[in-house]
Amino acid sequence: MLKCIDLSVSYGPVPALARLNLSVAAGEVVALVGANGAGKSSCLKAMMGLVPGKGGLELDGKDISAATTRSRVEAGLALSPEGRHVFPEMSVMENLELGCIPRARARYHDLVEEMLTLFPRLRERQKQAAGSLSGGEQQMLAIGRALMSEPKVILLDEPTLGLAPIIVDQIADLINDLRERGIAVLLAEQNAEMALGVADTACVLETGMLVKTGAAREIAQDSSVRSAYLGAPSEEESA
Amino acid sequence: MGDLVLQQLANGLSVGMTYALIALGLTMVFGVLHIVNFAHGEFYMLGGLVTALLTSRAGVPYLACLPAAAILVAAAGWATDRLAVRPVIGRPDGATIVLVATFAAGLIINETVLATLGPAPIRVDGIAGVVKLGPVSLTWQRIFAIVFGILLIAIFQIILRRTEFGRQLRAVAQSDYASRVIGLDVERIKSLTFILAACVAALAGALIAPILSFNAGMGYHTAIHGFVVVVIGTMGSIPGAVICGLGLGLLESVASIFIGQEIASACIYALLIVTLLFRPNGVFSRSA
Repeated sequence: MLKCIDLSVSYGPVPALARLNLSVAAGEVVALVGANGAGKSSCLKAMMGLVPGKGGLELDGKDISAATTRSRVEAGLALSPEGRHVFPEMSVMENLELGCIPRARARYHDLVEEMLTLFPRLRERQKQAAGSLSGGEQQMLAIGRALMSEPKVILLDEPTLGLAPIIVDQIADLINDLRERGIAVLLAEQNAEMALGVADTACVLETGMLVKTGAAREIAQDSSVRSAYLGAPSEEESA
Repeated sequence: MGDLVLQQLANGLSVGMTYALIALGLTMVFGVLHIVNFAHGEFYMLGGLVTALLTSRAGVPYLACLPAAAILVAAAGWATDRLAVRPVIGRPDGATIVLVATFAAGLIINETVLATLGPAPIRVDGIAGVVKLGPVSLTWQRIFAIVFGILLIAIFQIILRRTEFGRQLRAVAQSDYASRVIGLDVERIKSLTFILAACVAALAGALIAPILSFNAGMGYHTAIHGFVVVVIGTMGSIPGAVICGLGLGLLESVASIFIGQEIASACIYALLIVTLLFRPNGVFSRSA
């Protein structure tokens, strides 16, 4: 479904991501795990064409590495950005409407209904300004807005950042739901416990380099990952 | 004295409408592109110029000049955007460079008109006739300017609130980044906003030209008033631009009875300083 080949991102002379190779299949959840500054967000932004990146990017076998963000969204890629970035002075409905791209417009009413069913809190707050919603509600709106474009692949950038544990659980349930719908999910998360719990495959990034990849369950058992990201004592500390 | 004040209030309303329309375009460009367009006053002057030339030299009926002014100045707006805004806006300190670039573009437009037509005013035949409302006499042209201005603002509000383009424009004004994330063509929306603002300025020029006559310097004075309106009414606020534009026109007009036109204008600049001291973000800002 989505495949990136030797994807690199640099901000001036500073490399943020170095020759990353990964792929996400339909109905698969891939977690990008790493500390702050590991290159997770840069990877997602480069995939969306929001920051310049080098390397190849294929969606359904089609090269989209030179496409504009608009074309990537039309092709089936969507991003729920870190920090949510909803339109604060616009209503929940207007935010959802803006996410509905021309390709999905014929199904606009069905899509809105789907989003309001998926996120019942948004139904209660349809006419409310997005800026007045709680953090969790804004996150749901950001994901709902991305889903309004009927994406094949959704990129979720730190969807649980700053949210209460109960909302984190809801986001995990939502990701499972997206998997069941056959949507490919690429999840960039600092909350490794949540990410490895929900993902099928995991990639561990450190200072822009892919240092480990494999089944999420196996990665979650890796002692170095457990000590670095899951709060478990390292082997040396245990000894 | 009472009759004179009423008469000046009526006159001030039409001039205030011009300020409101000018400020509307300026505030739109600031709100969406986050730049100050110093060529804006010259779009207003060009609107008056097109009307003056078409009515006085080609014998075109006044009402037919309005769409012509809007279209021709839209082309000037497009060219300014392409040549003076787009190439520099993405650079570091882009907003400052745009300020100088649009100032230069405005000077080029103004000097070209001055060199071609000279500084002498050109009379513009608008809608003839006078209406007497008690002690107040109003020309049909002034009434038309007020009504057309209200209509234009109403259309603008409908575009902003009810159309897809309006929603996209508001989205870009609120967050450039989020607009890119959802795949909006941000550059296109910004260009269209710039061109739309030029159109509104042109129509303001076309409305005022039969009232005050056309002259090549008309854009400079009105643009400064437009900037004052935008700052007092809060940069980026459309209600602020409209209400303060009308208020400024009325205030200037009435004050000119007692203290003369020049001192009245000076008082308005004093009002600007007072606003900057006590409400630096403008009177329509949510924060002081």
